[in-house]
Amino acid sequence: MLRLLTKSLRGRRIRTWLAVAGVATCTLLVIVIASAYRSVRTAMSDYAGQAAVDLWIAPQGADNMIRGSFVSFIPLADIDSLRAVPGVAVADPILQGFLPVKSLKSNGPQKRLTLLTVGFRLPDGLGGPPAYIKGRAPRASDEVALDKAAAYRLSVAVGDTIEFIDRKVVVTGLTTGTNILATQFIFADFDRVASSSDAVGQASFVLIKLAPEAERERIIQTIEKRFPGLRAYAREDFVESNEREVSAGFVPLLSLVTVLGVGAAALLVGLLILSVVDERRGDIAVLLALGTGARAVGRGVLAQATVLSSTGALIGVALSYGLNAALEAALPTIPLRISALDVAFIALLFIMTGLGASLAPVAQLSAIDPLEAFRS
Amino acid sequence: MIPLVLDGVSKTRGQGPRAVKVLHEISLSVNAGEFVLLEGPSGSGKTTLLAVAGGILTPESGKVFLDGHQLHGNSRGLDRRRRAKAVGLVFQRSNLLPQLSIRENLLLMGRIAGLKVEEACREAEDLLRRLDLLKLKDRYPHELSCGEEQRVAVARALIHRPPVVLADEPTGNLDSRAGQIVAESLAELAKVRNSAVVVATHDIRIASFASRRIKIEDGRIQP
Repeated sequence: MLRLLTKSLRGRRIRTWLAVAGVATCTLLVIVIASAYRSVRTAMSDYAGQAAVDLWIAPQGADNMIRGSFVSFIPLADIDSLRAVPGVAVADPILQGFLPVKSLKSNGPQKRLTLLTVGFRLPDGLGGPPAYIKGRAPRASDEVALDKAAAYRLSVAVGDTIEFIDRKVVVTGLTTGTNILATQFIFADFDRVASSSDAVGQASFVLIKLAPEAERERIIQTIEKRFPGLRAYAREDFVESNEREVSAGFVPLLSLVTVLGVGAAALLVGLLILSVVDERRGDIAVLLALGTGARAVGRGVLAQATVLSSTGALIGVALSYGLNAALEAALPTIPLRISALDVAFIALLFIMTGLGASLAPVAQLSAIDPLEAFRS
Repeated sequence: MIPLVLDGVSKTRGQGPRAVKVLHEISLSVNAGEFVLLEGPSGSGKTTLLAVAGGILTPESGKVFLDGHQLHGNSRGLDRRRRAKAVGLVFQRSNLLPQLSIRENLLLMGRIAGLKVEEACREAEDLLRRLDLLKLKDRYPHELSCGEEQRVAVARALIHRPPVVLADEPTGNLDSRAGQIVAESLAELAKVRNSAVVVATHDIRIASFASRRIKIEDGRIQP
């Protein structure tokens, strides 16, 4: 009976599809923002969470990569002392900061970007790219690897030459998981980055790999005791700190967009259901006169709202996957990492929103007099 | 058992200074198979009487018995279920649900009245065949003529074999030919199913089908 009731109370087709499209758009919007957030967060944690690194040593106050800068440094002289700490197997410096890059294509306009530069010990020091999708690691000071989205923005490929810190360098590899939306990573020789940024003899962070049997907590205490100006972070703590920093910037925006999206969807579904109740008032009066309970009619209306918001949410989900594939192929500068859990939560949120928004119109059903069925 | 009994029923519409007593202690019994014509001018209380008899309006005083059960003394749910089972309604307009096909309109009424799906399907097919509307079963109301729509409305009122059928000006919107066919259909099907029928109308053509005629004026049954 519910199926027949729901069908009998269906709204006008065009209006219904417009409301479905509205819910789908709102769902898509929230999924895109959530996936962009997830992507940036993952990029930071992919880099900071590289398995080869056990400890991140940072100057006081720089507990994540966003706060690390050319402002506070670790003297390179400390690295030998760090290597001497029992249990430390490898200690490598990295230097990070924002540096300009220019394409050198002969045809078309030259493109300039400022990228998040990571200088590390070539060719295989700690702190290099987390993953390559093309090419290889740089081996010499005139070679760099950069994020695939940065390569797209510069219109360069593996083997092309670009200008980096006023010198020509060859792109040897394209990296992935290194796009933080506002900018991307470029990986270059540590000394080269140091010499061009007035940071000679200094490092932003020192990355440590521990010996197999080393006690991590004891080593952290030893380092912090011996080097009062430094803090030692276990990898997972440093990752968490990076994620917290990203969240602090993103979550307010994400929350705002979610609230606005949910509000818009609620209005659309609420308006449609309200118009259905208004427009089908005569039919509802007939149903009540024939002996249908107001609750059954209400269930029919709610079922319609659920179908409508579910269809909209599912279309929004499908569109988000389609958009992701299209962006991946045509515009890799916008990274989206769609999480199934996020998608399920957002879809459920919009379905519940549709249901909630239809409660007010459903409450109006009690005001419909079945006697209206007798009036012609 | 007498399918429809009204015992001293009174009803006032409106409130305060606008309150109008529409029915004055109406008493009426309609037997199974009986076809009662309720005649009277506009505003005489015909529709209100049908609504009270059908359990849609609650009287201030008096009792209504449908198929042996007293209405209005029970929970709203129980009253609603009883009237859905016991009453078939035909309105002045067909009031078919436009989003449902003819067959679905009938099935929905069957389901509201508590018929099982198979039972409702069987009854719908039977009624549509009797009314020569079977070929239209998958059409939608807007694809039918007014006369056809109203005959479907008659079928809807009878699908659950109600002991009481109440019709309010069922031919009021039809031309004479269509009105005649609808009146015949209603009378014939109600007779076959042994339903008690009360028809409120101005249409004298229906009078030929009536087994009893009742005149109502100012909410009172005239002697």
